[in-house]
This record gives sequence, structure tokens and C-alpha cells, in this order.
Amino acid sequence: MNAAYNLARWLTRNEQDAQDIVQEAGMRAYAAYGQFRGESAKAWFLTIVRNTFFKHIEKQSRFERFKVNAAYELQPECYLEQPDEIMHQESQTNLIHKALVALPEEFREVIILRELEGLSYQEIATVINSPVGTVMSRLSRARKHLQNRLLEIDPEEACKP
Amino acid sequence: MKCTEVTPMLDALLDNELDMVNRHSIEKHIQTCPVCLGEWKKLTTLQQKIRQQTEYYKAPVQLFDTLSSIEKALPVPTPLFRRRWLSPALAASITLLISIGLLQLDRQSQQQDYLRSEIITGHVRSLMAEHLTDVASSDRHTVKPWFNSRVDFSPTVYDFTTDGFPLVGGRLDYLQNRNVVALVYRRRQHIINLYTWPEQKSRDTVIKIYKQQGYRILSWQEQGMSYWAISDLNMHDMKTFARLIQHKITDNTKTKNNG
Repeated sequence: MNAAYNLARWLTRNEQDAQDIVQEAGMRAYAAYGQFRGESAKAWFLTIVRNTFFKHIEKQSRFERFKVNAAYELQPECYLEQPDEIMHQESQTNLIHKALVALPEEFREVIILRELEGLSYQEIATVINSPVGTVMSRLSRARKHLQNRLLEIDPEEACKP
Repeated sequence: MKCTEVTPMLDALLDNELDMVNRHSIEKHIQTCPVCLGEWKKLTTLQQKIRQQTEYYKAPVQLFDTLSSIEKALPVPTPLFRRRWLSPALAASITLLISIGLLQLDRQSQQQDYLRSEIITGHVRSLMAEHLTDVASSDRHTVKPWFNSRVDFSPTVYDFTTDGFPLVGGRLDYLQNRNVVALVYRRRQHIINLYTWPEQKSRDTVIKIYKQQGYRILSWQEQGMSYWAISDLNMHDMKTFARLIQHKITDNTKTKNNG
């Protein structure tokens, strides 16, 4: 249950939508339990959560989605600072979280499923409905993305005049 | 193995997804190649950062309430013991719904799954290159005090060389976002990592046994501490080891109480 909410929360990036999605996924799971065949119940339910998420955003217009994604783009804090404001040094602990939030969905979800949910490559492949090879390459690229982002948004580098 | 072959497999190694043969070849390569070792360290650091500094969102209470009211609204199967027969499909569905948390929500078991997976990763990582022990000694009077300034609890440390399980040393490790003690033992060619940390919640001295990804993991609680032993050692020896520890702790308590 927590796994379902956690995934929904990371995909939607807000609490209310996450709750709606988990509720809807719960109802679909209850209705669909007859179809469950495979081994991992957790992976099966997370697949439903994920599909519910995608149905949910289909309804959003493309422009709305673009606006939402843009809002989460990482910006070094100093660019937003007014002349009479003091720049607060962003602590390291926030950076990785922010970097994850800003990652494109397809990279964000594999990181969440692997690192926070501890799913195996096979289970992740089931949830995202792709071959294991895709999981492996996405995970690898997602990690490289994160490493690069962490270097890019180093406040010391980015805020040099 | 060449670096060009190793680099694409590092992620799989990190995620415990490699078969024994490949794992062994890559581990050997990393031991001698500073470039690949550097890449490996970057990966493990990133993984640690992600796991420690990323929020795991727990489902808010009202969500559980909402879902259990859905469950009430839909037709509920009569309690199992009252039925004289039970269709396999129905039994399977109930099991399924319990396991995904729609019936009888069991948050604790998911956390346990994740803990075991962290333990496996920690164990494998400790076997790499240079980080098996922070303090290498089979003398408990060297190992135990080493932890004094590094953790806020006092681990029980014993050497079992005479029983065939020599203490190799100790290591500071991280599990579930906290500092834990890892005591390293050896049995012939096999390394055992014994993780321990304070756990007030339950006093379950019964040893729980898990077999996962080729490792044997034994866990129990005693005197307010949680113990997790992991190794690729055979089950019989693992149980012997666990009992050695348990008996020592019990004996130690008796002596304290009598003396």
C-alpha cells in the first residue's frame, strides 16, 4: 500500500493527485483480481497504479503538462535572488531529491522502483511493461543524468558572476 | 576482463542482478583497475545518496480508511473457516489482496522486504575491494571499544575461533537511514556479516530464516537488540552460528545477574 502511494506520489509530484490515483488503482485491482497470474503481487499492483497515472494525465492537455514539467525544472537558487535578499546555501540533502523530481518520468520511475521499492529488474520490467534490457539501459542513463545534474546545480559553480 | 566490458555491467553489479560468474570476474577487475574502481565508487555513492536523502512517501491515514470503506461496499467473502468448500480462485484472490495491502494492511512486511534487500547489498559491497572491516582484529577488546565514539549503543562482540567462526573485525555500516554495527566473521572460505542495532519494539528470540538471491539471512531479537546474519554459507552452519551468538548473550546476561 505504501509502495503504491509512494510511486503515485513520485509520478504525480503532488499529494492530492497521488491519493486519487491510488484510490482508483485500488478499485481497479479489486475488480481485476481474477486476472492476476504472475508471481509478484506488488509488481502487479504497481503496474495498475502506473497505468492509472497515465490514464489520468492523458486527460491533461499537452500545454498543461508542459507547464507542470517546467515548474519542476531545477534552477540554481541564485538566479531567483533579488538584490536585497540573502542567498541561502542549499544544503546537499535537498539536491538529490530535487534532481529526482526534475528527472523526466521514464527515468524517475525506474529509480524509484529500484532504489525506494527494491524491485528486481524483472519486476520493474513488468511494471513499466518493457523488456529487461530497457530497464537496464534506462536505469543506467537515469543514474548518469542524476550525477550530471548534481554537478550542474552545484551552487558554488552556478552562482559565480 | 577489459574496462569496456566492465563499465556497462557496473549497474547490474550494483543491483545484485549479475550471475555468479560475471560478478566474480568484475569484482576481480575492480580490485586491480583504478578507473573502474572510481566509476564503481561514484555509483555506490549515488545509490547511497538516493536511498538516504530521498523521501519515501507513506500513504496518509485517510487513504487506508477510504480503501477499507470500498472493501465494505463490495461483496465480502464469508470468513474462510465458515465455508465448507473454498474455490481456489477465491482463496487466491484473498491472498492477493492481502499481499498488496487492500485487505489487512501490513506496512511492516514491506519495510522488512526492503531491509533484507539493503542487507544483501551491504553484504556484497563489503566483499568488494577494500572495505570489509574498519577495524580488523579477532580480539573483542579491540573491536568493541572501536565503536564507542561511532555509534550510540554498545554492541555485544565475541570471538568464536574455537568453535570455527573466527571474528575478522568490525565495520560501521548504514541500514534504514541509521548507523549500524557490522561484525565480520569467517567460516572456512565464507564471510558472515552480522548486523546489529538497538530495537526496542519486539522481543522475538525465535530465529527467522530467509533465503534470498543465493544468500541465507537469519534474524532475531534479544535483549533490546536486533541481529541480522547474512552469508552464502550453508544453512546448517548459519544456524550453528546464530545459536552460538544467542547462547553467548544469554550466558553473559546470567553472569551479569549472578555476579
